Amino acid sequence: MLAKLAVRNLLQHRSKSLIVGALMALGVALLVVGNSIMVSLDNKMEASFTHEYSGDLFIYPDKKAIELQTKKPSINRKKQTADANRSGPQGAESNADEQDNTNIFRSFGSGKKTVLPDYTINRDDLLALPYIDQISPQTVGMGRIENGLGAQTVSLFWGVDPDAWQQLGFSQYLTWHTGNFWANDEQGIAINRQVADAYQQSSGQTLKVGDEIQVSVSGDAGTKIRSLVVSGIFSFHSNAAPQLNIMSLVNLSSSQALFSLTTDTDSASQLTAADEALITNVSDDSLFANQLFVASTDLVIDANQLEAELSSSLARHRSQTQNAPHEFHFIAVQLSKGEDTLQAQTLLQTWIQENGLLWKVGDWQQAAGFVAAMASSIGWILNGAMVLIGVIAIIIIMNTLVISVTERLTEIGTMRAIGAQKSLVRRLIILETLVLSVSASVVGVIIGALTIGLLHWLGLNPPGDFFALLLGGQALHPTLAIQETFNAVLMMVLAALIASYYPLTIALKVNPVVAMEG
Amino acid sequence: MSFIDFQQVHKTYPLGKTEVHALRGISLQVDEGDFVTISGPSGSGKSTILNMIGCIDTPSQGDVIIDGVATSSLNDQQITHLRHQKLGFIFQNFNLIPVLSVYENVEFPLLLGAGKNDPYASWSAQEKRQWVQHLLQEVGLGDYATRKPAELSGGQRQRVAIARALATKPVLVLADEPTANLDSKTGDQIITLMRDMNQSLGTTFVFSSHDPQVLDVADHVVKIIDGQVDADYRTCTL
Repeated sequence: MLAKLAVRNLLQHRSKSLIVGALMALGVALLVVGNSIMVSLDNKMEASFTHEYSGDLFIYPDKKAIELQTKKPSINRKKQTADANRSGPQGAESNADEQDNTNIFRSFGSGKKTVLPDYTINRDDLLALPYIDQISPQTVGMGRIENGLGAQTVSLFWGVDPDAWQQLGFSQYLTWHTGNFWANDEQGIAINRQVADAYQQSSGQTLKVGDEIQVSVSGDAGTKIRSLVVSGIFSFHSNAAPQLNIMSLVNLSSSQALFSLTTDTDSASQLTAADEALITNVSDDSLFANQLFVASTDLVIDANQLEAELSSSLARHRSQTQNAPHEFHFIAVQLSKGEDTLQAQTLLQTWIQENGLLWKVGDWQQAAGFVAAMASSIGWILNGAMVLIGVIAIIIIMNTLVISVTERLTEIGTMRAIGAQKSLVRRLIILETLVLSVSASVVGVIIGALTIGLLHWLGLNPPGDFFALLLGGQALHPTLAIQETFNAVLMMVLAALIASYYPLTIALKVNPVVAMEG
Repeated sequence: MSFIDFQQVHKTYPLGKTEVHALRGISLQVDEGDFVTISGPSGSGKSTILNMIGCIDTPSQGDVIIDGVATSSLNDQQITHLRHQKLGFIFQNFNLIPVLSVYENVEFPLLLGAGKNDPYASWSAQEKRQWVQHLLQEVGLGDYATRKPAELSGGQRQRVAIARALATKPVLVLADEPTANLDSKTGDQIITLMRDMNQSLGTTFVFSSHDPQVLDVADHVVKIIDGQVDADYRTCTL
């Protein structure tokens, strides 16, 4: 009977029910569409990053822990005092900011704080963890490309191992315009199409596979230059971050050399007595005496011997460089199928702490840096707008319900007079609110779902550079977010119930004497 | 013992900075089965007396005792239950629930729950249905069960209200000027119907009216003037 009464009351006051219902339906439709787009965008970005660039998780240096470990107590005390005097508590914030800004596009530099210590000792251990499927150690930095003939441009670089990239599946998201990756045992560079275009614009010279170019990177350790052969020109399938437009790929060992990521080792030279005597007796004057050139029949330069000596020296240097412990900026981690990212992140971080490693684990959003932060901000702005709409909707719904109750005072009074308890009036008003809000929500969901279906079919083209960036330059084909749709209905029903509170108090205060007064 | 017992009842209402004395020490008794008219001019206090009998208003002073219970001692829930269990209401403006059909309006009080002592507590759904249909037949609206109140005339609506008031088999039915919004012929029919119900079901009827003709059918007349009992007498109509 109550349900019948509630439904018929709503139909009786059709115009008010329609106004409130339409408002609720619109609210739900907006929530469904807005949230579905945001979730689709988030999913697309997550898929782009985790599948194409960052992996499910990424390991990066724990700068704060490294800094704490490397500080010597005596210096530390002075420095801490100086820091405190200079910046007070902001010093700590600055560190935290630096930590939070770590992402896979950022040039980490070569300082100890920004470099992952050699991970090769942990590589097998990492891969033995049940929730880790693959890993790819990488470097990141910025440098200049030039050919010595006037052509030059700037590029970001990821130092990668093509095999590791292949195993993580990243390489399948590259479009090769010409060439391909360098052979695994070679040193090479694959140039981003836009970098190649900029290179061409700088001098009119076209970059081709097989060209030898010089890559130079300037940093704390000076300028490092490497000659590398172009192995291919490519584009990323989706450009989910602006940095990807100028991101080229370079072989890992070259990148480590360029970014000064080869750990220097100090060792005492083993000198013979003759060497010691020579060093002791040799002075500048003896080297550069009056006779600038001394003809000596004893000095016979054997070209073959010289070449052998130099080759030996170069080989020794190369060997030292290759065998020396290398450092990385980050490690992209692909989880085993079906693993929960958050849980795996916690487990991995725990494992890292247990093993005393100065590493931290970030998720794709941290890896994405400000792009994910922007998407997240938009989500918050959208949620804020929704809350505002919700508050306005509550006020409008409340006013309409108050009018509806006020018009029915005699009816409510009559019910009370003939024996209806207050609880029945309460149930009736709540039931009316529920029937209206649920029906309106269903209509809203249908409208929202149809809109999302249409947008999915048409594709949502980015309206400007900002959205193009978020969408990776591609059209978004949003899908209905089930959980968010359910939440939207729940939110609207909750908002309607909140809105019905005041009208309900009015209804409960109705004295049966109102019925007598007519 | 009388079913209704007013003991020196006073009622004052605030009106701005002054007070209106609606009742000034009313004492009266109504027995079960009575057909009582409370008459008097407008503003005499008739409706206030009916409101107090109907437990929808409380005295400022004195006691109103219904079936041996002082209404001032009951809380809202108990009073509501008392109204549902023992009282029926017929309103001047009919006050039918507009969204319910004639049948549903009459059935409505039966769906508000039942105490163990209520006569219809043990009724099955079919018995309730038969009782509602019987009442509709009694008030002459057997063929109007599915109509909505808006589709009925004033007289028909008041008949529905009478049937609704009798649905829970109350001891007492209160009617506040039940003929005020009806033409004289229809008004007579309604009074006659109430009288018939009073006699056939033994239900006590108390109704207010300022129509002198109504006095002719009442067997107990209480005349109120300026909030006081001017006359309280029984007639010999039976």
